[in-house]
Amino acid sequence: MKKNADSFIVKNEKKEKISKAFDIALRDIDDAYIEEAADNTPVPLKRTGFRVAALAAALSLTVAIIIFSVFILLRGRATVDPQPADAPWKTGELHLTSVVFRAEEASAKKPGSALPFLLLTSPADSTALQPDQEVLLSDTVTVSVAPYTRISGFSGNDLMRVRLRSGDHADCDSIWYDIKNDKIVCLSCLIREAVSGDPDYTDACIRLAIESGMISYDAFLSGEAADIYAELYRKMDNESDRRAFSEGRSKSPLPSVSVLEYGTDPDKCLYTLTNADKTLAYGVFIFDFKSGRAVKLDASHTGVPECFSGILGTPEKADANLTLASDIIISDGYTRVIAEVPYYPLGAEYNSATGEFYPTYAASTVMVYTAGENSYSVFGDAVPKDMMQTPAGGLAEKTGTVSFTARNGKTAFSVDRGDIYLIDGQRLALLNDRDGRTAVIMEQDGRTVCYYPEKTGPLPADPDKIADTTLPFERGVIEDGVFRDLITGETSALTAGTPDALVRSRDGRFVYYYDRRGTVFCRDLLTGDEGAVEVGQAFENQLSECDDATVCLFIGGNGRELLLAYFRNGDLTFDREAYLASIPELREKESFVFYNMTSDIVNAFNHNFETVLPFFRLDGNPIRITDTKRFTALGRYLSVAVLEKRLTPGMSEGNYNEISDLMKSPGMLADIAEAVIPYLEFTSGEAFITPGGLRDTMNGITEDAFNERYSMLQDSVDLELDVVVYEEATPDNWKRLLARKIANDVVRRLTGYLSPDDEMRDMYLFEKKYAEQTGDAEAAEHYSRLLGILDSFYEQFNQGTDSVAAESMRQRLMEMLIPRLDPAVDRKGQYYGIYMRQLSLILDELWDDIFAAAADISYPEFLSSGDFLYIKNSADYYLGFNSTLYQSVDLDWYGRLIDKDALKALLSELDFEKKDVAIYREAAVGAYRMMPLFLTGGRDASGNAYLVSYGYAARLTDEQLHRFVEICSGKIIPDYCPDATYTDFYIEYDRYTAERISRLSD
Amino acid sequence: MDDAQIISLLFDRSEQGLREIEKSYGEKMRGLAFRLCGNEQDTGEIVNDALLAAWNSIPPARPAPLSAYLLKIVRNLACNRVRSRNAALRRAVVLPADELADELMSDDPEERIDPAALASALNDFLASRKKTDRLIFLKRYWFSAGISEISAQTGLSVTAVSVRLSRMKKSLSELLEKRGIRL
Repeated sequence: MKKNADSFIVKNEKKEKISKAFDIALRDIDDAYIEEAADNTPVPLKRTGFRVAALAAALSLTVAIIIFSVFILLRGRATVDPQPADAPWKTGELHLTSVVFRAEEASAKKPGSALPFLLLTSPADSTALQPDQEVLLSDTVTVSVAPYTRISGFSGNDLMRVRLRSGDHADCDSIWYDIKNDKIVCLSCLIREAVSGDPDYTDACIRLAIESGMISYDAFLSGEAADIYAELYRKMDNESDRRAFSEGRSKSPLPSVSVLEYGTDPDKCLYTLTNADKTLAYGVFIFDFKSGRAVKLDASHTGVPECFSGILGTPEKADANLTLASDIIISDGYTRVIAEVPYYPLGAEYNSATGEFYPTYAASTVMVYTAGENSYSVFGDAVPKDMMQTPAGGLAEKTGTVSFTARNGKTAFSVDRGDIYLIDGQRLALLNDRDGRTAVIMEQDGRTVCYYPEKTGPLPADPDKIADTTLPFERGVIEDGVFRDLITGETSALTAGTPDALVRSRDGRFVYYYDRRGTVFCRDLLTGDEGAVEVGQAFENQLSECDDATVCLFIGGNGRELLLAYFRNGDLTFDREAYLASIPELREKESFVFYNMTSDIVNAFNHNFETVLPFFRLDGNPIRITDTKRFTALGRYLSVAVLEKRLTPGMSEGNYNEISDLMKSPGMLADIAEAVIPYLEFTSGEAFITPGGLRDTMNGITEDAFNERYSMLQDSVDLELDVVVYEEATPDNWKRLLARKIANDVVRRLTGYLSPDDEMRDMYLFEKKYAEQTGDAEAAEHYSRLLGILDSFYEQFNQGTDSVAAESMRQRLMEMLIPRLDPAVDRKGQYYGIYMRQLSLILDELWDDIFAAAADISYPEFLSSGDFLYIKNSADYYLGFNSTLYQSVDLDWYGRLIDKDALKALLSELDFEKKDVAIYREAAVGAYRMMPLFLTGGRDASGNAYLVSYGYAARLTDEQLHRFVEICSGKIIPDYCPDATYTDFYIEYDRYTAERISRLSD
Repeated sequence: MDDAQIISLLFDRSEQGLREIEKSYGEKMRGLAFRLCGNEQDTGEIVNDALLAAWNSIPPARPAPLSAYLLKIVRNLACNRVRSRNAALRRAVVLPADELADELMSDDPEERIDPAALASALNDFLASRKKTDRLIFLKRYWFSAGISEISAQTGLSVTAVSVRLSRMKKSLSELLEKRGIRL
């Protein structure tokens, strides 16, 4: 069994490697070939056009239809044919002779996935069944479908989605076959007919229409079709459907409203209504905010009030003029309209001739209207989403006036900063998705903050229901030691008074703070509740709800103490003596086999170690860490041991996610923390942990090697760090910069130093090769295994140098370096300490070769991954964990997130020196960190501001700190790595962080 | 508007350049993105990202041909997104490259892949084929088009397209073997 599993895993890993290699290689296909093929490649996106036809005629099949038999078994076992890559039904060319529908399978399958029926693709295949053959079973229903009908989904056991290739509904998108009634229904046309005539529908169709979001009672509440939909509602015999219908709670996304124009009358707007995916247009409406009613315009768009600019024009011109300026999301039955106005120059267009909708873009304004209360609020703010800083120049956030312009050039509306229109005084809850993309609507006195509600669900009107929403959000904020409930407006003081530091859990839900007696408190921002972090179950519960199950590094009231809290399985008690006694066993154990932990484990560790490892002593007093080096080195050593103990046989062959899950499993880090405790000095005094030190912990080196490395670093400090030279990638210097970066990458890999874009792969490769050279078969096999694990998430790394040529260069550089390293030295040691220097020297010698190797890297490919800003010091190739010496700041596609000139100007003023500094940032993870520079900012106990990076710090004047904050603030980068392993690639930003940044610069 | 004019607009930092790109190549970009990522939400974002990348890289770049430049960006973005998304969901990634890997992979547990050599081999392979074959291969593995789409575009039957693809994969495998690239 294990062997089979092994071979499967090996094969799978191999396939992924090959696939990635092909992926990279395909990126280097000659442009001429791409262009040649592009000219002849059709665009697959097809939207349905708007078809209006008499339903009776529409439902009749054409003369050319050949009747085939479809056998439906409502019971019985299912057999499913393997689905080839080009299954006919996927390509739309289904030479269907017979389809057997098995209801049981249908409910278990997702639409579009392997279809639960036996499919005969040609007459020749139908050995068992013949066309027109009818199989009569007790539960069998025979239906007929047209030839080339593609079956693409099911709705319960009643409806089978098909696509007709001929006939009046050949281009309609929502064709369903009502199995019981042996009837084909076009839902698209059904809806239209329901507006203008008396539709012929079935209950199953109604249900489906609700489920698909095509009908929302709320959406048509005041429209012409109100009566029609009321009738539909009455016809429903399913109570849940009725309830859903009346509450407007569609099971799928609600209809989408796209604002065409906000007229000069602020109480009206002109919008189009479509289904959720905008494949169907329901018409043009005028929405009156005051009355809460919508009026549908006729086809000629007559009756458009003067407050609109005539955007619609005549029906002939309307198509050309229609633009989508925003989306209005109609909440689920609470008649609260939230409008988002995108501020992006490309905007969106609707072309009714082709039926194509182009996507809208990030919004910058949220308008909320509650029809029932006959009032609305407009929140407009310069807080930008990622799209906000457009080439068009961004918002005039400095002037206080924000204007939002629709693509047609009309000003949609303008909002003065600070103007708040309240909905009868009701405040709105924050919707703060921790990935930073959920809209936040918040009102603060004199200030409005708005985020884009990207694809959020409806806002419940009842604040008490907010806690039930699936969207994580913050009910309140903590400011100046006071918790303010954003729903009720009430404030409550924190138990700990006005703590100097607040630490937030990674999911953002919990905020921890500490009082001087050593009690840790936690405020649940979701519920507003506060409680002391108690030993045992209470905290464990919170841990389990937190994203990473650990958390909380507290900076004490005096700004210097590092207070940690630790819980293990809800039980703080642990037998320290017994653990100490077990240490020798751990020491003797060959645990270094895992010292090169996969980068994923490391990063999971890093994630949790950002401000983690809370500790309390048995007596309840916090443990203070006094020896950074010991802590980091031993922590790593022992964490390795603990990890190894936890790994089950075969676990190391598991995939990234398993290991990551292991690292996040409750108690895991507590175990590790526990392992470290015996080695901590329980003395008072200042304790510091540098971000670099923490990160260094994850390198898995031995204490000796660690100390050696530190010693070397001590020696190297004399190199006089002088971070003054900045180079920007230009056509003239990019190769040199790229070469240097790649060289840095490789050496860092060889040294085992883990950078944010670390790729342990080459290190494992080196280990493997070394083991092979020295005849250590066991080690070679081990590193082969680790290589396989690493490759499974290799592609998540930064794409900046992820090109064929860059990768090739890395390989070649490895080939150059490996022979130069002294094999006589212990292979673990050679990654660190003295070999760092040796590698640096070797690189100096090999520079010409390195640079030559970079010549193969093409420029556009390089640039297509973003710009690079390099910072180097006088010692070009000193590589190690002095990230300030030579690093690149990979700017995201969005490029302009960082004001490079401002950053360069600021950095040119600074002097970095080695310094043990406390963790300055106030636990807003990634608030203003730039990776892989690891620049963080903060203040020490005396209030002096610093930029800190890996044990090196540069003192900042307040003005400089403010500038740094400005450079970093407000830049939102979408997280391309949803597993959060590499979120550190990007500058994260959220409202809470914004507050901290603002406070930091005060 | 031709490519030079579009690029000129971008050099002048005129947004009209992006609109022209959207007009000229938007459909192709969307088509490619949609094929790879399979949903409209991602498609929209990817195309948007690609346009931004174009804005940020031009100038100083003056890509020619512009279409290939844009499509490469789109493709990179889409593939990365698919891989990232599927890695998080522990799904097997299904990209055109996966299909090639699946079909050309040998049973030998050891592989020797030099991405640069592979790219060179691919380009040489394409250069050695006739135009129709090249179109079929790239439409399938670069543009992620379906067999029927390729059939419709080339005028060949579905079966013919499938057979040609099969033969090309075999030829490619032989070429790689000849060059010492072991999959």
